[in-house]
Amino acid sequence: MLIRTLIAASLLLLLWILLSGHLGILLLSLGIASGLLVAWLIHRLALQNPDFSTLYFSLNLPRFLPWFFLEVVRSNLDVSWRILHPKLPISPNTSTVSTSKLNNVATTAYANCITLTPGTYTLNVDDQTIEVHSLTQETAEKLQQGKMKERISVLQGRLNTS
Amino acid sequence: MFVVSWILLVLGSVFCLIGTLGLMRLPDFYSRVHAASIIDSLGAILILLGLITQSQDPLVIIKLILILLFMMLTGPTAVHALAHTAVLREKNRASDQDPEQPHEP
Repeated sequence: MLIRTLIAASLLLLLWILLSGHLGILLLSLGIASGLLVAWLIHRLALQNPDFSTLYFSLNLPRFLPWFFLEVVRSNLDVSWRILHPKLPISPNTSTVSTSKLNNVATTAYANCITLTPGTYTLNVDDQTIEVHSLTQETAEKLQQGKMKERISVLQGRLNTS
Repeated sequence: MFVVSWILLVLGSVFCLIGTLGLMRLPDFYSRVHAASIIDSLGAILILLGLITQSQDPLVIIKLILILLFMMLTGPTAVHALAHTAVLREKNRASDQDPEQPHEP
């Protein structure tokens, strides 16, 4: 755990240097201090989940992100078109999607991805389901097909199914 | 590069305008959130990409990319907090409970 905290602290220090752009002794030592403080706070909050492989998650992101970005653009255009349409062709509804086989981090990612694509957003997250509000019936049905969930379950890998 | 940057900035502004229009046109709270999320996603992404292509300083570019990443995290969180509160209040009103004590699922 100590090693993880130190890694987190050095990554935070790197971020500090990138953001400040100064390498003076005062600013560097302040950066080290705040990096350690934040790493300690994260440790205290027990946000570091030992069952979860961050590396595996990150290595699979390059395959997921382009698809997701296209999905965001597509749903943006769809919702924009509906807003500009004189007849306002919407059919707001709530539905639930299952999150079985997704671990905690993947469930969070899934809920956030649902919210990031306009036309659907997360109302509530339970142990097994996510409650979703959709602007139209079609977007709700598309979500029910579970394409996004499939891609996110690939992201978490097969090792961590809690 | 300059032209690309301006196209991105104008497109982003157009999506922000559409989102604002949606806020006015859509009938109820829950569907208005969808319009607001257009501003949050494509509007913000395009404007930030436009600013990134305009800048020559790598430090500024890194900062803009970080802003983009943090917006991708804070945006859904805010939307979720808003929508969840609305749902809880509705439930409280329906069951005529004390609004000070929201019952957690």
